[in-house]
Amino acid sequence: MKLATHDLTKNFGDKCAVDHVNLTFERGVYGLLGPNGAGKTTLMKMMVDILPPSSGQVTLDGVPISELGARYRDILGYMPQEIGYYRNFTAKRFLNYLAVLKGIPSKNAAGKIDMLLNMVGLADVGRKKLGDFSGGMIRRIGIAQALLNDPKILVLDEPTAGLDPKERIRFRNILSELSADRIVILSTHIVSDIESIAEKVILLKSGKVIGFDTTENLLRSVEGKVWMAKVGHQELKQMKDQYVISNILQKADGLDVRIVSETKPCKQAVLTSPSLEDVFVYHFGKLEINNV
Amino acid sequence: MVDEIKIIDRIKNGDRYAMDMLIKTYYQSVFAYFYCHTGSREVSMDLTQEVFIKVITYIEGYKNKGRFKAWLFTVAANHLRNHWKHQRVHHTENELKGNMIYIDSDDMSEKLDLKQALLRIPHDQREPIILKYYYGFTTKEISEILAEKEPTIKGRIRYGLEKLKKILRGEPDGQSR
Amino acid sequence: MDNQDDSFISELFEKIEIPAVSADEIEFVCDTAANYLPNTQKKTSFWEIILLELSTVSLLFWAICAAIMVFSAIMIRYASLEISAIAVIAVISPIPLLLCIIELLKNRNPAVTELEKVCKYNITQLYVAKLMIGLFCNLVFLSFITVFAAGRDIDVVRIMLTGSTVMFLLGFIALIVTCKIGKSLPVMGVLAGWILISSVFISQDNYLVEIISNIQLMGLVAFFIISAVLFSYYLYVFAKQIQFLRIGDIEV
Ligand SMILES: Nc1ncnc2c1ncn2[C@@H]1O[C@H](COP(=O)(O)OP(=O)(O)OP(=O)(O)O)[C@@H](O)[C@H]1O
Ligand SMILES: [Mg+2]
Repeated sequence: MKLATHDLTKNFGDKCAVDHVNLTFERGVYGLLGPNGAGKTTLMKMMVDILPPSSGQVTLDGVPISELGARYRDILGYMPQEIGYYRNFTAKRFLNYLAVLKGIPSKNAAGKIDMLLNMVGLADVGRKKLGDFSGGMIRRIGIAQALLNDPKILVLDEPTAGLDPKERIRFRNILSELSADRIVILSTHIVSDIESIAEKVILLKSGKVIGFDTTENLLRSVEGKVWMAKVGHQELKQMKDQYVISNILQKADGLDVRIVSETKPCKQAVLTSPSLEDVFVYHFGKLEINNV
Repeated sequence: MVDEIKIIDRIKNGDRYAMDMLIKTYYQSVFAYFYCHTGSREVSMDLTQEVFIKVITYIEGYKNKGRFKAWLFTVAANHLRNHWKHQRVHHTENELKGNMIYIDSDDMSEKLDLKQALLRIPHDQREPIILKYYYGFTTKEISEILAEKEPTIKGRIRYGLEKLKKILRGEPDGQSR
Repeated sequence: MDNQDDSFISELFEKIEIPAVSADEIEFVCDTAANYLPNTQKKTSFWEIILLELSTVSLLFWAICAAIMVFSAIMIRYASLEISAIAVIAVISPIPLLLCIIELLKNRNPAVTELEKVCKYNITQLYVAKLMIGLFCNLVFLSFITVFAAGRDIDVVRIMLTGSTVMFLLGFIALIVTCKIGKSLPVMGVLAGWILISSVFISQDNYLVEIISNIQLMGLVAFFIISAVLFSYYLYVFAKQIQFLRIGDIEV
């Protein structure tokens, strides 16, 4: 299966939220990475056919998704950034409600719902009202409902936002358990979320795709540009103005600073192996640097 | 054509084997249709696959009314129209350039073959000509496939044939496209 | 000459060379197309959707409908003959349908609709189902009142026709408002406005009731058909656009 966007564009008034995006997805996990307001949500909404594009189109195996209609939605799972729910529904009833809408036969639905609640660790609160759930619990319901119909295409908008570290690990395990025969697209602005799960990463900035490559290749692109240095507070202030800092660690004998720079930032700096975080700050960190 | 109805009913029930049979029966003929229009094997293969996906997607709505083949070509004709629309938006420049080179590089005195000549007449005339002479659809069926009135179709065929003959005789066609 | 043309072109067509496509390549097309084969799973019927939607309608809605129904039936039956039955029905007839639309908007927020939109049976079927429920309720409501009021010397057909005409007309207006604004408050405004204006007119001026009661049956039928067509047409427009409408009271 091949999901593709062709010059996909969305304008809100004279603001261009998504700008001529051309992407092709085949099976695998894709991370959509971009800072706040980059257009991730807008792009995803167009890909699940709930927001009409200003121009361009989304196709599955060459056929526009708007024409596939119900057949497309049948193989689609979507977790929005903001998960809606009926406050007076219990978790089970809500999932059952969506299962009927997804056309899942009722005899299969009950077992599937129990399995999913178990998977996201909410089995014991299945009969509690959603109105009493915490934000993190609602997000886990959001993940569960996206998996109800065993989708071939899974679109998750910031699935890990609001989850605590333990839940993040659980989520990562869920994703890796899903069989390989799917297209999974997840957006985030937290790099560590996708570092170990995404095979390919899309870098989105002000609505434009500025990078689309495998994680390894992206890491390679900043190879030789990531430095570690031990500096004092005074030095750090100067450095912050001049360089892109990707991480600072407070140590007993000073500060361990991670710097992304084409040139050696200071004489005590040593090269170190890059992480996805470095790629992120390299592209999104500071305007002076990333005009490459 | 009883068998065809049976096959389609089986596809409606999700029968993979029946679907394979249907696709294999009509693949070449749909492919040829796109090939006559585009002159490109790659593009025609893509378009043919897309048409079969559409056919399978819409099959539940197909009401065993009229010839299946006519319905199939209605889907194909619509798909081709979308294809041109998309092309025009994005590739006008290339297309124009491509055409220029094409005309320049051809020796005008030599007689062209029909395939090349077809690519030189306007799309809306080429379409009914191919459906009539290659596939043997009646003008009534063509008017249904293309959602146009029958006299319109007849007119287009007449004009198209005149142009084709001129081109085939090696006369300048006076056509910008 | 035409025939000559025909055979000439047909012959040429026979000579056209079409490149071969290998069996493997066709097999690949079959594999891809197989993803789009109809699901053999049992299909959810429209009735199931309706039942499902019934379960999301709040109790308050049913309670209000029932209360108004009983109240108006009693009013028609036992009130003084001064108040015309037709007048009462004209005032109250669109209430269930409009309440249903209000309930639909009130109970949702755009975030819930987003989840519903990506389901196989999406929002179009869902909301149309919901409106059908409202319409059905409304007809039951009208018939109940009519039957209950039939003890008085009134024309059942006339009452039903007037009632449904008003219902369709107001439903039509409410749908326009829903499409354009997508919030429940304006629809409540429409309902309140109708009840106020119509009751003021009717209570002040028996003359108007007179006119309505004296319209020929054919005229009533014509009005009924026009309003039903308007409503159906806009229901269609609504269903067409709904996938991309922002509907619901609660802003995210
Ligand atoms: N309905 C709307 N009307 C007007 N502008 C909008 C609308 N939705 C989004 N935008 C704008 O489009 C841009 C992209 O928004 P979007 O929500 O897609 O970004 P995002 O990458 O998902 O951000 P975040 O990380 O905050 O979720 C933003 O500048 C936003 O203000
Ligand atoms: Mg977002």
